[in-house]
Amino acid sequence: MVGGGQRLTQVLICFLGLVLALWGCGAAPPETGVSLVLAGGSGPEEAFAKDQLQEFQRLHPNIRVTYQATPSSASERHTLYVTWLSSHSPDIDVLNLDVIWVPEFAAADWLLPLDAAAAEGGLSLDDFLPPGLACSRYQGRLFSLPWFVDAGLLYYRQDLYAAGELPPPRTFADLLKVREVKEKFGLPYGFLFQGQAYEGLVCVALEFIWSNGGAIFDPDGNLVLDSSRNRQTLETLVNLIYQEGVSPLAVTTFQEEDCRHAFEQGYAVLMRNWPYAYPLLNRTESRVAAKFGVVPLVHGSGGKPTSCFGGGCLGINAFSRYPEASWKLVQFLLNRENLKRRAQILGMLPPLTSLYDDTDLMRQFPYLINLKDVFINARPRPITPLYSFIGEILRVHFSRALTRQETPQEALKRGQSEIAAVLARFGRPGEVR
Amino acid sequence: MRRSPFLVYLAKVLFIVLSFFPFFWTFLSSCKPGSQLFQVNPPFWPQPFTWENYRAIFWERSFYLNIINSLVVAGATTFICVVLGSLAAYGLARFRFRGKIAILSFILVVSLFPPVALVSPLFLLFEQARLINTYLALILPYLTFALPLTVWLLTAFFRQIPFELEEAARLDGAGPMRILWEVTLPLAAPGIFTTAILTFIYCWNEFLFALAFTTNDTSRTIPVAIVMFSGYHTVPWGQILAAVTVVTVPVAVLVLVLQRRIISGLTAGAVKG
Amino acid sequence: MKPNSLLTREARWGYLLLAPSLLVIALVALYPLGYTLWLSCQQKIIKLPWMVEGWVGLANYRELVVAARFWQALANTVMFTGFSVALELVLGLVAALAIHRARVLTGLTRAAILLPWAIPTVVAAVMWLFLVNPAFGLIPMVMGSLGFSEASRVLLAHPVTAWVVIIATDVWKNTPFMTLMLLAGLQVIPEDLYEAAAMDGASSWQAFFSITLPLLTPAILVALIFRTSQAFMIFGHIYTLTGGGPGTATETLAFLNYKAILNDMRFGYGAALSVLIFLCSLTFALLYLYTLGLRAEEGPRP
Repeated sequence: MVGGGQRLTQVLICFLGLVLALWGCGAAPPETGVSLVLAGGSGPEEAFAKDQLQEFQRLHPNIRVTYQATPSSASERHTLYVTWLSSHSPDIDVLNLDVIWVPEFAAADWLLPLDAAAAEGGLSLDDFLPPGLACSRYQGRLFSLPWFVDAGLLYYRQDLYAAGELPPPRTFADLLKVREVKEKFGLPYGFLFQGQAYEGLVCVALEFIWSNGGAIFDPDGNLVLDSSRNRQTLETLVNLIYQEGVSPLAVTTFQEEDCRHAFEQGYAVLMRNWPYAYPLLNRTESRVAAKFGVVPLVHGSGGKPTSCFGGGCLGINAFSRYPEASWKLVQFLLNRENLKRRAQILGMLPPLTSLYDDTDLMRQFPYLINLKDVFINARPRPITPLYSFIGEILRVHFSRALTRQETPQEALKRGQSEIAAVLARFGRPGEVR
Repeated sequence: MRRSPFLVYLAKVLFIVLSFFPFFWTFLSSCKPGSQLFQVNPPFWPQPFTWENYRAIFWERSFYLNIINSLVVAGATTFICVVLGSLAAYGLARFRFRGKIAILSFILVVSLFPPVALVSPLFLLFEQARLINTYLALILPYLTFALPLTVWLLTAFFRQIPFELEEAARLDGAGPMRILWEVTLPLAAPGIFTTAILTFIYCWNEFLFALAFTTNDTSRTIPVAIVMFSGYHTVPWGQILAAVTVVTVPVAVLVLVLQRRIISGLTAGAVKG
Repeated sequence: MKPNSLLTREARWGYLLLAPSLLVIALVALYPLGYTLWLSCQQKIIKLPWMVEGWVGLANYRELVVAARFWQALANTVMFTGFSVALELVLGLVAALAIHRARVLTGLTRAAILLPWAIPTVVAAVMWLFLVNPAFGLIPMVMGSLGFSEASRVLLAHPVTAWVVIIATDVWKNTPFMTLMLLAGLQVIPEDLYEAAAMDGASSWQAFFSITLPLLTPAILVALIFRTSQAFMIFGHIYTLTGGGPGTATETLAFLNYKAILNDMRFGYGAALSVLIFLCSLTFALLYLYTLGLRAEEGPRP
């Protein structure tokens, strides 16, 4: 019936399987000692953070810190944080948060308020960039502290503009001239920006809206998304692709890296991107090294150049077992030298205003000399726990407008009514800034 | 069914090209230096050929740990699933008792639920049982989702095996377990190996539970590790493609080795003998 | 021996053999499933503490059912499932028959047929993302050299072509699953049936329809049930390739579910959506069981 060889195979397979099963079912080693866990990004951030943590442990020998790498992609990290914090897990002590998460985590009582600690520790909040502090507060209380900042910048081909004897682009009208530059020098793309249906598109579109003097909420907290000025701005943005030939249709599928790669290969005249691209574009393998410059974003006739404020904050888990030790870690990570080194090594710009006058940093990032105001005046997205709803509505309608599934008028009108419905249903009045 | 040899040959070539080409392109891309990947009309062959990305993922990222984790989790789950599933399918196919339909339905229904709904409550459960970052935290939910397919497939399979051989063994005085081990399982070998591959690949691929239930670098499995290669804005395509290649090779070997076992069907002798 | 009594030896054996599997499944699944069902009738939005938590009856379901976005996602999901599963079934059947019958296929070909499914979904989607990238992807390059205009090369920008890419990725990846299942089913069909049919003068097609298909029905049934429910929960491809865009054109139910639970933290609403997704999968399963399950009990037709 069953051959001996076949029987032997069966037995071997079962033995191997049993070994695997037992190995798999082994329990984890128990944890001992006073230890903190810092959750942050993966990749280059991780290596750098581990170096910093070694230094911290040298200064505080009785506190052990482990670094927990989480996906750098915002939505995956958000997934993890929500999973952990909704089950009140004490396993993470200090969290690296995206700036738009602070209000929602604070409202859910997942973050420890830091006002008392900051006051006692003598931490001066004056030096922090105003938009960074704004993002770290919710209902007047401090729930996090900014760790690094991001703001939208305009990268342009200095060599081409110089050859064409044109000044760097400043206004929306200058954007339209990009087509001539593109055709004159034979480049496939004119102005690249992030237009895929994700959060990055919301940042770009908001930058256009703000730079033309428009807004989503006015200073009193009223919803003013559907204004004639915003409609004009959105139309301008959409026309860049379909009428003016300034941006290719491909931008509707682009995220940050797609734009950077195309610009780096020399295929584009202009690019809107975050500061991270700067050191990468100056590497030897980049075809535009030393050929490009950085200027503030273009603005419309009704406004000033305004970048979208992004970046990360440090917060302490409300369920942490060691809040005092966690605060020490936060203070350490936020001290001046560490922030400066982080900028120098990782290219993640610091949240302290005074560091923008630092000579070392200005040498490494020359654009900071002229663009300091961009960061000081960068504008955060609406600071509310409802931002995920609002951002989602904006994302959908901006994307539909950009891919001509809706006209700009329809997009803003529907966006406004949907946001109003969300606020009416879920909101607390007077809470949005 | 006879097909003309030419058609078969054509189909063969088509299948091989369609299946292998994306992997081949991935492998070539992973061997390209720096930004050669992103040129608008990239050269087909890397100029020059470089192993830099592979060096990076193994030396700088300890990717081999993730491979081991995936192997252990997938291997253990597969083994347990096949064992438990065979027992269950054998019971369902060969024994008469009440409530079969209810039980089969229950097993099926469990797998129809979207996993994303189960992540939070399971995390809570596992945290309280101190199972987070252990292999068991993954093996248990994987079993829950792999067992239904295993049981259903093997039940259908066992039912189709002719009863005569087992009947003969029973008349010879063998008990049910012995019949299962010596008669039924060898006959059902193609089905067993099929479910083994299906389960292994499911565990190998699974992302959501692996993301939520493993928080340490050292306990992560491959899909999560690959996602973690990305920095704050940067996406290291070269390394990602290298990891994809590395991950595909052992699976390809596994498939190559096992495909004969899957294909080996009933021989005429065993049925008639 | 009393037939069909709980106490028969046979019945005891049956339950005993089932016990370990049922134990594992019950241990892991019952609490989360029950919790989800209970949660679907609650309002629980963790990050908005002023939204009172508590029993809201069927309000979550009502909110879902009147949302246009829900129906669009449902339509997208059904459309995607229909096309993908149908294509996979046909291609899988062809591949399984080819492997089973045509002995000229080498191990390499068989491995090639099975390989795409062996890599993680996220990884496969990333590979295809790479292939369709408008700037440096292979497929737009080929399309360009075939003379397609610039605009049509941006595949993920239009709803229709975006779906084509998503379906292609899914079919490429999952056809091997179908192939494996159908191949396993083909293995148990006894050779002598075909010999007898040939002796009776039946053609290949007749043999296919009266022997192969009916006897393959149990395998087809299992394959369809599981593949359909998997397709219904499609998430990874959408997430990586389009993020639900352009606009909401490529959103599926599972994608909405993911957003509701993990982004918006609307646990009650998300649970209700999970239950609805589950009911849809169940409907398909019951449909298959009804149409195919009955035929599975029949033997080969004369």
